[in-house]
Amino acid sequence: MSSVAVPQAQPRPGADWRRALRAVGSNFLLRRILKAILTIWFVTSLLFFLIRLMPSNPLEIYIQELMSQYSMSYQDARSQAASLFALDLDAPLWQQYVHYMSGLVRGDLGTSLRSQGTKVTDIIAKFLPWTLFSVGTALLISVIIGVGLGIVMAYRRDSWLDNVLSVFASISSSVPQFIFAVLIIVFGVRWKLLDFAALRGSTSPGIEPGFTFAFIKDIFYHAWLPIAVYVLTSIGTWMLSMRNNTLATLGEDYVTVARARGLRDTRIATSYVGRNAALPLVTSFALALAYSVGGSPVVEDTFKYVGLGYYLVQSVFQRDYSLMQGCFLVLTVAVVTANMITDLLYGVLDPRIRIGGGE
Amino acid sequence: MPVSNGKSSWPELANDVVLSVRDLSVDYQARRGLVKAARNVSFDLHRGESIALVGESGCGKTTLGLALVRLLVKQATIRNGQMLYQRGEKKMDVVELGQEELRQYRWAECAMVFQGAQNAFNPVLRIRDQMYDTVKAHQDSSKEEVRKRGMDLLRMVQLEPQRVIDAYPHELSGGMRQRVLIAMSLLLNPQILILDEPTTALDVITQRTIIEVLRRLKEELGFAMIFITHDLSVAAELADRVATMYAGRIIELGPVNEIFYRPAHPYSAGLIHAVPTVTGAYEELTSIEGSPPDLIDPPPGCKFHPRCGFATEVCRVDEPEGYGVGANHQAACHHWQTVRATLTEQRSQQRAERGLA
Amino acid sequence: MATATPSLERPSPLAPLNSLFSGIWSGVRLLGANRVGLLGLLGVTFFFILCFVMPLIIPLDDKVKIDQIYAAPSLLHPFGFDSQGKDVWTQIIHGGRTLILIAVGAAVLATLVGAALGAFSAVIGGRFDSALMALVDVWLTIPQLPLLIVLAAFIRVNDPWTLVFIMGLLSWAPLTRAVRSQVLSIKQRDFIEAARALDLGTSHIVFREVLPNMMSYISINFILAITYAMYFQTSLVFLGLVPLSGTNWGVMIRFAQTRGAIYSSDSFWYIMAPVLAIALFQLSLVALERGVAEVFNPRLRS
Repeated sequence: MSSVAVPQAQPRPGADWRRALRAVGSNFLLRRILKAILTIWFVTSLLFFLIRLMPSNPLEIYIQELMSQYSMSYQDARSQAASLFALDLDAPLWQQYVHYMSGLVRGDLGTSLRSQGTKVTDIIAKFLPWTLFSVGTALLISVIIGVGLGIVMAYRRDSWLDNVLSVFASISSSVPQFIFAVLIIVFGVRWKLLDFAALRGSTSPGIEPGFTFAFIKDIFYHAWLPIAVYVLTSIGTWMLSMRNNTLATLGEDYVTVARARGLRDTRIATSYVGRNAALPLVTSFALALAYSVGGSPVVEDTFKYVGLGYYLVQSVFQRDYSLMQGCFLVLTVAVVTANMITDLLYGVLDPRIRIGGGE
Repeated sequence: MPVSNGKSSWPELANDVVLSVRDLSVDYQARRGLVKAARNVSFDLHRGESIALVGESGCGKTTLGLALVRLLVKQATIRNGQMLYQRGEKKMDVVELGQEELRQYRWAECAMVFQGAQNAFNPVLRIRDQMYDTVKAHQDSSKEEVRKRGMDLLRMVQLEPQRVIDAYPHELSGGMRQRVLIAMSLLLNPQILILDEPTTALDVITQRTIIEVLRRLKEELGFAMIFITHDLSVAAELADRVATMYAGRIIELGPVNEIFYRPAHPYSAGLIHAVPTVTGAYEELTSIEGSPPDLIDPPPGCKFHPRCGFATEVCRVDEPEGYGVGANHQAACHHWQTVRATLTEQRSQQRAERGLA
Repeated sequence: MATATPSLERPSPLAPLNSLFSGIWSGVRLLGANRVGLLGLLGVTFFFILCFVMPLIIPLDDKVKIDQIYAAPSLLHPFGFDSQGKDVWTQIIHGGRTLILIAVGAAVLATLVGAALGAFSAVIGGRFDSALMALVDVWLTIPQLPLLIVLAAFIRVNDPWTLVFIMGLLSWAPLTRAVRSQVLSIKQRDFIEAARALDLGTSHIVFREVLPNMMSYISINFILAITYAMYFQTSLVFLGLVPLSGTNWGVMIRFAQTRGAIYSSDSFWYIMAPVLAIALFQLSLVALERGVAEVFNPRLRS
């Protein structure tokens, strides 16, 4: 128990909603969902105030731009900017806020400032899948290989293999993504291995989307460099944490008892050591995803892989604030959702966390 | 002294001996040198018999217990000795067993209940699944059969079978877990049960329950028992024979009444005096002065001589072998006769004083 | 009897500083005995000399030399020349200082904010504590690099101080949580009880008892905060979102990419030099961090 004493509520008027609140607070499922909603609300509010209230906020910059470029009057420019940002600038701030939030809840992210008339949601719908595909595939690969290697390192601890893999894992977990991306390009060029012009984009021009072998081969062909970078930069964390968890678990009493019970080594390694050592990793899943998604702007920009990260960078360069806001929100929502799912998954996998009741 | 360990040389064993430990020595590799944790330990365990291993912590009790199921840590090696096990036609030297034979021997022939069962169970599996795992590792059995057998055993250790069998370990209290582990240890009808401090870290009432449970189970199921304890009152209640260990050796072995009322080794005598007994509430409590010896660089001669009031020159030079001091009673002390005489005298003196008072 | 009573001397005002220095010294000695930590310490020392001492000795080569464009490495010019015929090695020497200073500055800020918030949260407790911890939870799930990219669009990062400020304020959350849980557990321990019973005063308790016991957490998180800041700022520079002028490892890679040198095999060493510098700098810090963690927490030593 934490040492912070929760003051006992006195029976008095207003205690009902407190009790209800506490009931929600002690319910694992509800608490996780509440946290996710809170995070998204926090990020959207942050964005709203950045766009609206910063001294050199994008709205003013855009209005100035319209005025100088198209010699519009301030009023015209202002109303055009307002419609593009989906804001009613004459309303009081709180109304704008409510309007903005209700728009978001309905899934309205406004229209792109640069490619006028295109809805931000349409752009996102088109390019988000590529980011999710590359990051997701990479995560799957790095978890499987990383956890496997971590187990090998633990069982062969202090061998040369363990030492070599530890050094590799340290490099993997500390060197920034763009360094790996640059290294791949530099060596690809030096050894004439890769055709970077052909690798650009997320598909080859003219390929027919569909559940065909040619298409699947093509998307992997275009995604494999980003995937490689994500794997290289996240696998080290999996290796090191699985190694340490396995070592800790091997020292647990129940492993000794399992051996005393005459269980087969394979059974002990999987259900007794492996499962308990891997369990805490479920929570790292969200962190790893956040790190890879966070790196997607850099990785996609370097390889010109056209996903959401690429568009985030482009929108910043083009001062396309509505698109930028949309890209950032969706990336955040993706991470928050993944976080929530892994939290819930942990509750299912570990019987010690009761889903229904309190801690 | 080293015994040849060929499987062909199976010595004659009495029919009712289930385990004969001969000249067993175990070393640990430590940074400072070799820790001689068990030195030439020999004893026979008979069918349905229970032996209590007593001694201070660090005397080698737990090492000996772990050696009997070959669960010693990596740094430990069995230097020499034999552990001859027999059950009907089945005869084997446990020291010589290969990995797979050893796996089959564990739990099915000799089960071990560990000290502090708090973490003895895999936290993510239900009790029934861990029981099924155990049975499945040794024989073909359906989940239903295992469940039924498990529930019978849980009932025997005075637990609610329906509730416990489907529970996760964290849903059970410490005392319950200890009893579940005892129930689980009997799943495969082992001939030997080793219990390492089965009642430590439990409250007094739970301790009582467990002692009762063990006593009943032993009567009903007839397994032999070796239990390791530093609590002599537990030994007095459960043991047929008591083995006192000191510095890796069994220094006295005899029937429980002999050891308690006519100890022949000054160390055993000291241990017994360190325990208040219900009947001897007036008797003076004397604890043994000094600390256990260094097992890497033990003193020469009798390892107990630096702490012994009876020690003479011979004790400093010559380590005593076991002397027969009574029926089925051995003690490794050069001066066992003096020890006994002194103790008897002290006791009659005390009785006289009490009579006067 | 009364004369023999030992007097409880008031510690001199410099005593905490002295104990800090002796603490650091014994820490360095322990690190020396730890293989990984020693490597990290050597690496960090190397970069300190490279970026803060060597620039005083070796001047930056900024003369354009047409005949030296992408000239191959030689003994005097270990990384060859760049697209304008300037020596790459001197650029490496001069190109780390700003990055490292910014990273350390951001880490100092993050550590101060994180430690203060964490300690306050634990001491005050109650609603403030729950609210702050909820905020920490929320903050940790926001993908940090995209947030920085977005911020860079709103806030013109024209000078290093802005970057220090933004990155410092971005990384407060992990340390806040760590310090809070540490303070909570230290509050429980016997020696704090004893200090309280002896009525040694809050400042004594905080500065002489609590803080020294948290130095391990704070120093580990400080080192990690430097690596985060390095990761963030070089990524931003690489994307071209921070218009940092002058010579700097990130800018070198950025130029290599925008000028297409990255796709030309002539420029191999020109690109490899800053890549290696950043990678090795990060690696040294992580090694140092692991060493420090093992020194402070013997259970990690296997």
